[in-house]
Amino acid sequence: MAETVITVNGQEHTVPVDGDATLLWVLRDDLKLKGTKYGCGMAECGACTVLIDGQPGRACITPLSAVAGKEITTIEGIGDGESLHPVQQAWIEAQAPQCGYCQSGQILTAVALLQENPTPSDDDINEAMSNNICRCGTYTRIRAAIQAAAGQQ
Amino acid sequence: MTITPTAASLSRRSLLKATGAGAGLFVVFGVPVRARQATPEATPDIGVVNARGIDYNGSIVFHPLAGEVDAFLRIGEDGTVTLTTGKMEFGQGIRTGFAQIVAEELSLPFETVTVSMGQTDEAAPEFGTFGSLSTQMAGPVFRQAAATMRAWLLEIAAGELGATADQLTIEAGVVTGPGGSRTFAELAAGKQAAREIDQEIALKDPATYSVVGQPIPRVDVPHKVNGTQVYGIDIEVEGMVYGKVVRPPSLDATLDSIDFAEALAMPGVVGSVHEGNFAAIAAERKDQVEAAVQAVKATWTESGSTITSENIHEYLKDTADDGMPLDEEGAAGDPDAALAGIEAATYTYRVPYLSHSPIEPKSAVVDVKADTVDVWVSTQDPFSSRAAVAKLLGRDEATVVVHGQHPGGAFGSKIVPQAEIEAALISRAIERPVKLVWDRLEEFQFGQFRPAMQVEITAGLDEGGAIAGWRYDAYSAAYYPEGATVPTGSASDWSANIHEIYPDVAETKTTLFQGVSPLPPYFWRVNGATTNTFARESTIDILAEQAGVDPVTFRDGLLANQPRLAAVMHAAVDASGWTPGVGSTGQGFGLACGFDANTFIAQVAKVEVNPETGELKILDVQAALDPGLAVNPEAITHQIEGAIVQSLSAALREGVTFEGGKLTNGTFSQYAPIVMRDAPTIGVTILSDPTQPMGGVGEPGVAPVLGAVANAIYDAVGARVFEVPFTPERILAALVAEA
Repeated sequence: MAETVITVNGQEHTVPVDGDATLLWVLRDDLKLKGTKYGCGMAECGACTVLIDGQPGRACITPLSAVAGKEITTIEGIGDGESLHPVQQAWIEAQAPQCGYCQSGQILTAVALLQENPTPSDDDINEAMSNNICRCGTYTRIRAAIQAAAGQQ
Repeated sequence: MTITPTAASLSRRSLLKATGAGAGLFVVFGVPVRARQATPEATPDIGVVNARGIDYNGSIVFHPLAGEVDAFLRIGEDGTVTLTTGKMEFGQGIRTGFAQIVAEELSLPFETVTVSMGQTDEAAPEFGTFGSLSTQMAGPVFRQAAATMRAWLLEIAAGELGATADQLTIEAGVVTGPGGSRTFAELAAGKQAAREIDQEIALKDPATYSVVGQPIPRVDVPHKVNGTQVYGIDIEVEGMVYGKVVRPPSLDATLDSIDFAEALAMPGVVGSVHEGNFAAIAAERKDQVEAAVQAVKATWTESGSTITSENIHEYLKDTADDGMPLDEEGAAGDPDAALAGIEAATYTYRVPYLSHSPIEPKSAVVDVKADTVDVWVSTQDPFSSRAAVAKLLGRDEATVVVHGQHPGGAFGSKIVPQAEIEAALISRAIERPVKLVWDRLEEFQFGQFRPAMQVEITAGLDEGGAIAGWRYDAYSAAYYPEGATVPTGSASDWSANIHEIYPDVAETKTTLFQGVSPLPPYFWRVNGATTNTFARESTIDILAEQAGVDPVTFRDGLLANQPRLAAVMHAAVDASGWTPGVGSTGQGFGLACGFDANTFIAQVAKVEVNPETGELKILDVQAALDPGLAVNPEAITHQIEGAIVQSLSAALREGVTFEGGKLTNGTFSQYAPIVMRDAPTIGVTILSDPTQPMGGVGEPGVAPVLGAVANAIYDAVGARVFEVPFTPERILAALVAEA
């Protein structure tokens, strides 16, 4: 039986699939990390965004073979134990989510942005975030949350 | 919006079986409420199995909140109170708002009230979550329920403490009197009581409120930032397999032949099902079922439909029925006569089909067993889902349990039981629990659509500059296919009658015409109100310029008997920084007013238009609303912001294109919803009058956006756009037409 090893949130996992399997569904169905969402399966909405060696990546089109030896971070892994990541805290203070379904992807994209650019302008934020779709229309709140998180760093 | 009172009968329902264990207090209620439609209840009728998978031919079951059904509260052994409701939270904030309402009337800390939602084996049957009706209709019932519980607790306490009711105080879950004090839990322990809600019961004075009216952070938010919020798509059950429907190449295709042989031999495949035009396959893992469905050999005959997104508006008009007059009784005027002989014109407005496209696609887990059926589904309407699955399977509704799950976006699309019906057919055939997850292409192609619509307004001014006549003809499609059991719901309804907004306009006549929809039509947000408000508010601005006055002054003349709307209009204008002027002033501001769900709203958009390219940028939107009693101003503000952004998406870009029964822009990159760089700054001003009834706030924010933006485009560059979306091409064409 096929087996593949992946590293997620600092832990190695052996999953019963070959390297062609899609990261998103391995995270969700094999590792039970359901905070990473399916939205389109075509890397067009950003709901499945995870960090791959710190860079935002689309789990829905990523085969396991592409992340061999790399560190994957999901929404469940960005905080420090029980405490939230500063970006998550800013999200709560801004009351950013409505339905919340896209927010894991939004948050991980924002975390990557702030790692790269700790003091982004509105234009920087717009550019970094405009590949993540939110149908509830929470963009103004997300923008405010990122600005607040940046101010705290 | 039209609300028709229904003669719901008062009856009490045995509820105790539904409340679970614990030494609790149960309060039973029965009060009549007003259902939105003239048909308070309708049995859903599952239509034929067709090329769309299953055509759910019927739809909403209008369980009123009362009548033969009840809502109820329970005090737990720890003194906390649980409200159980069939309504669903999906980010609009009702889980928080309902708890505020109950906590307030019971003088409880907010944190001690929790809300159980959407479980059909726990909640009394209740109509679904849509149309901004939750706070508006269920809110007052829950408030009376809590007040009834409060009175009941005081009666018990009076007896136990040897006091009269007026000697008792109630605070933080403790009743105190001269003879001592009792907690709610102590008072309730071992007692069961059934009471109807006392509709005449004294409610707290809103001036004393300390929980209602506060911007309490939504209780659902923390789960949505740490990844723990569970949605329908996240459900797993023991022994579950994945199903996948074999889709036709286009809508209304018929299945000629199907061969599962190769697919059935693939790894993990556990079975298939074929009934009429419905075919599906199931496998242990998701990747396996996706590979297997590719190996199914199916041949189809396509409809060869010649209707396209280009000719749809002519088609809707060509196929229109005789029209349904919408004027209130006795109020229909004779605009044709009134406009004869004066300078009048007809203005024609068009909107396209829209896709709901929530980011979470339709999905469901269904376990059909010999005697019971369990359904886990992201739904706006668990009881309609239960009715649909029961009917499909020929089961008694009492044997079907829908475990309603938090939808990841809905916008009307998750009222329709669809994934659960498909999953039920597969589960019945293979005798395993089945999880079905639509992919994005299915979500675009095989869901429902906000119908395209055309509005023709004929209007003109009398010598005094007042509106002399207003003829309003709207062409759209029925929400329900032929033979449906819910005979209402023209797509063009809601806010079509100008008197809902401007009650004093004389000589009006409003007619809704229903044509044939080539795509399955369904509710999207506030239905036709978006289009009607676009058409009405654009025309009002046109008439204002003809009258030689600015848009605000002209509307002031129409709002003498609509003071709450006038107030929000001026609040939005004041917040915007606009100096209204006659005609196109170059400032780029536009105003639109609306009324829905008992909430008055006005919006002022500020835009920038590049006259060389026609490119439109939305810079700012200021909204002001009067929702009556504002339960949670923070949640209200958020709802209005989201409504504005989603409606701006329709203003800027959205529109389904199709030909031959196939979408030609059925992906996110092609459909191109609004993203962050398109989102303007937004301001929301709430003018709350706590003595007025609670209005709904989800949808009122949607309707004015198109009209405000169209009027802002005109103010900016003097070009009037009559068709949505406001693409650069259309704006350039309008500029050429003006020149």
